[in-house]
Amino acid sequence: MTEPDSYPLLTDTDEVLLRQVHPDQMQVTGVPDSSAFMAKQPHNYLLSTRRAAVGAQRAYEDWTVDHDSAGTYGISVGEIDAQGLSAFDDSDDPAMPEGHASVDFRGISESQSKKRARRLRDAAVARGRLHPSDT
Amino acid sequence: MNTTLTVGAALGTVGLLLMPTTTVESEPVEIDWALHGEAPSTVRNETVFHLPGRTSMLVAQRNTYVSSNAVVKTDHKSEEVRAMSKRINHLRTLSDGWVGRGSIAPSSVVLSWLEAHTELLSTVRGASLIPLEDGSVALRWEHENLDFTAEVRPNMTLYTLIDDIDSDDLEEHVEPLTDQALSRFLATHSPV
Repeated sequence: MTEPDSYPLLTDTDEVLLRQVHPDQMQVTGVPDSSAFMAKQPHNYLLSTRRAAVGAQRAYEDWTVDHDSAGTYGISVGEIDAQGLSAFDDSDDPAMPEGHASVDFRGISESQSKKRARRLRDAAVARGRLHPSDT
Repeated sequence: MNTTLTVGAALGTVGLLLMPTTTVESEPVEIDWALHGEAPSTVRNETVFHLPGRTSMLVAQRNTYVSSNAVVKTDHKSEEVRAMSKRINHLRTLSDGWVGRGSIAPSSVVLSWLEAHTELLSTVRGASLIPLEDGSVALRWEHENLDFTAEVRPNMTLYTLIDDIDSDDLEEHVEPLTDQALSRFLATHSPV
């Protein structure tokens, strides 16, 4: 596996990265929990997403072959930047699917990670579920 | 009050004994009980029925009907406690890898501890019990622009976080997991 730091950073702030939310990550209020937008040690502090070009529907369909999902949500590169985080394209990693990108939580304290994840969640909720569509 | 014979479908042969009816709004559940003096017009929560002249108890189904002649007893357990218990049991069904490679299912030690504190957890109105990828389970809720987290971890610690939604303020704390530690946090920060 190539070291994450060698992967190209995403710079198009308008690109919306695609994140799957597990049904058990949904709060009783019907919105995703912030933990769905945060990476902890088991994922090496890297939040797994798919790039916009993959498409919300295909990202959902790919993921639900082996996992459960309540839907595809989106966070933009600009929203990630605004939280002092970065995202990079690690599609070249053989273990990753085509069009994979990771949001880097490495080196961020736990409390700060949770706050930033909550803000990313808020942005995703404001955007609305991308697939299946709520509208 | 309704008059219906649909009660027969729920209560079997005794159905024909029943005339005035009341709606049952809960799922069936076995409970400890004592007799009420009279039947309420609306039955809520866990409910069993003791029919006059009969010694057996019957458990009614949600949205079925039962006679107001029946003596009704409501369980003390609230809907919130039942929902929390159901949620904890559901989390036991998750397995490693549930949110991708490397993710860890909720720890059985954590779930057992939570199960033993279901009533306490249920005191927080609107709280969600959320599994985390490292085997921890978080109780999460919002109140007055604050986001609260009480995270029970496999190493038997309690991590708490108060996140001010409108500012950069954060307050976190880690301590050994005890009844008192969780009670104190919930009592201080639960919505009234």
